Amino acid sequence: MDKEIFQEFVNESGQALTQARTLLANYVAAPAEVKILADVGILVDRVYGTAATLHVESVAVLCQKMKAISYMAAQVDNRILNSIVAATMLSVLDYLLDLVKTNGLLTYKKDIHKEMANRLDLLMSKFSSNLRKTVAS
Amino acid sequence: MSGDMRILVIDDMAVMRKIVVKQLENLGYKNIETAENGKDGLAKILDGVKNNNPVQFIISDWNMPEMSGLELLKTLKSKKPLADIPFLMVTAEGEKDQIMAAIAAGVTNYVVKPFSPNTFKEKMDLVLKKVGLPATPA
Repeated sequence: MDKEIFQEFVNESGQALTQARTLLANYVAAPAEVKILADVGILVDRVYGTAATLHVESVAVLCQKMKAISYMAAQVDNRILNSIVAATMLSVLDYLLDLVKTNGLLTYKKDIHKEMANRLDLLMSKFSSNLRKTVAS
Repeated sequence: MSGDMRILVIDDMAVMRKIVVKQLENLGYKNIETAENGKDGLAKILDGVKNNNPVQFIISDWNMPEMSGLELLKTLKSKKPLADIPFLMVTAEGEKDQIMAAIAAGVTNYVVKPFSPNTFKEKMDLVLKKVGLPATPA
């Protein structure tokens, strides 16, 4: 992979993931504002597309799942479920941002990564099958 | 015209713009410009018309702030001199609704992220063939 492009990806995805984290924190403070979750979905979707094209699986897999969850959560007004969505996604974003800061995107620990993916899969299963059909995951 | 065709690449992610520009350069294109979103892209397209240096091919991401790829496409389709510019939409994996909306709006073709250089070339050639232009130079 082109080193310059990869470094730019690290910087740009770090910014977008930080923005997504800030938005999620805003949502926690104002849980009626479900549109914020859709905005989070847009941000992680952007990161997903680039990460998938560059084959940075550590980021692509988790962002694809967070995109689907964000879009589904934005369509339901279930405060309890959405508070779990926010808490889980905050922990996943913190994990990814830590990888970004420590240059660990290509050398991440597979077991921790799998745990994060499992948490998101579990969360995804809490939405109705009809809703799951409306998002790519 | 082929290698000198003026191509506009629109994406809000700088890395994606670089990836697409690099793939276009590898295909032999030299006259490539970039824009950060649909609004910025539209301004460059209109400037091109004004300065008699029209954009001849557009590659645009779907999901962008300010003006999305779909909004840009619909705007161009409503302006006769711009409606015929070949438009390749870049969309995310599995977004069938987006693809259907883009087709309904008159997109020339679409490519789904993540895409390989070969897939990108195939899509470019399909668009060029559809509008009667020569295939990619390389």
